[in-house]
Amino acid sequence: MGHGMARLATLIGLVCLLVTTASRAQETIYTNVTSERLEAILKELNITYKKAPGKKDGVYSYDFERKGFKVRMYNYSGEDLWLESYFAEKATLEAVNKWNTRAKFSRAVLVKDASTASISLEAQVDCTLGITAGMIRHFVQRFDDELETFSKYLTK
Amino acid sequence: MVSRYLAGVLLVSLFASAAPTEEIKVYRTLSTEQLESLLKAATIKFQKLEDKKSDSIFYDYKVKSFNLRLYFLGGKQLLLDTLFPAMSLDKINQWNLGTKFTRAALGDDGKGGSFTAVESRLNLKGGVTEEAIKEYLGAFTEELDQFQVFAKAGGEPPALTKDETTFTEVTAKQLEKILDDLKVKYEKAELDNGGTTYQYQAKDAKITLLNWGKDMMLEAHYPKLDLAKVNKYNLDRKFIRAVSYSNKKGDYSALEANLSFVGGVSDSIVRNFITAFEEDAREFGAYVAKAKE
Repeated sequence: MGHGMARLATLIGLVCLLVTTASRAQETIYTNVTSERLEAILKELNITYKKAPGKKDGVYSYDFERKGFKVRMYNYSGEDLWLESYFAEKATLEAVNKWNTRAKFSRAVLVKDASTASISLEAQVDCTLGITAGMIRHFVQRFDDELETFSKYLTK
Repeated sequence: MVSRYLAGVLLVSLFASAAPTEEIKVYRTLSTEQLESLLKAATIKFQKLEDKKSDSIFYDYKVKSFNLRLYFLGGKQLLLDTLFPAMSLDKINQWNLGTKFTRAALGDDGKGGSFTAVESRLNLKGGVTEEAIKEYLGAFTEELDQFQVFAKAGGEPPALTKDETTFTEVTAKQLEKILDDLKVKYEKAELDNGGTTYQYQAKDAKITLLNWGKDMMLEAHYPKLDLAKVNKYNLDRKFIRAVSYSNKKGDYSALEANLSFVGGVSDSIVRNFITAFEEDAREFGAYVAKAKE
């Protein structure tokens, strides 16, 4: 086998290695997401947020805007993350349940107080089951898609 | 991702011209000048102090809220430590059993008080690169974040980080191995849209797992609840979605949970997700039963 053929064979082998290993990686699995870790990821995603302490110790909220929607993210003592955005239109149980029959990565919940009703579009992830930095990034980015689709759903 | 990067690097090397490669410096000892240069490159502002022993030098610096001391031990070892309030030996032992990179110890300040020291040592004898030293400094701060959470937690210590193989797609074979490891006896069926379902009886519910390769869903069906009760369940709970259906399968309420693999998941994450849903299903079953009374 000439030098050129040997090189080609090695190249083919390396391409196969790339393909087979494309979806696998060695990563750190966290079971608690510190504020620092979360904020570093939000910064990576170019999210400018306003941070505030929650009602309980260890809980923090992050307010930011995504694709024109106001979003609030909660970090509950590093154990779970929560994303939510409120909508005032079509705030009915039927509209909420209909969305939930087709949703995968969010849910709609009707929130009522004495005078008003609104829909909370929300998503949560339980970090204590294990979470990667990639999962956190994807959790935030995917919620953008849910927001857009939900907004279109409400206008139909 | 590491393997892919490595393969990419090899590819480039194969077709690169025969230019000389850059040598990576490996340190088996460090001078104080070299260490100080590394600290400056890592933008660490330190205060240098010298111990009575001629070859022991300290570098005190602050990272986040932590006051760290880096010990230069004769140029052959580095030791990082920081102090926390004293905690019980039991709790310290719990940390030491779970951690891989640092260790905690109860110390005496000589004035009748105690403290908890968290430390990490790097031995240069086998040879370390500049990158390895930077990683050592950074990793210590990351573990201190974890220790701080652990120190504040009232009950069981939070589990610490671990490295695992992650993947962005889960094949039927991988998922079936996870189910087999969990001793789940399932009935498998192929979906028209390319996914696969696995039906199994958990302790208190019949669960269906649907795998679409890039994400999965768990669901359990119950007698149909009115929308107000379903909504209340969602209002009071996290991580799941209660939904009521009227379709060709009949009238029923379902408890659902979804996991996307796209961000990178590991076997343990998938396993924990499946296990956690069994408890969620049990609780929703109890809620439905009570609502139907």
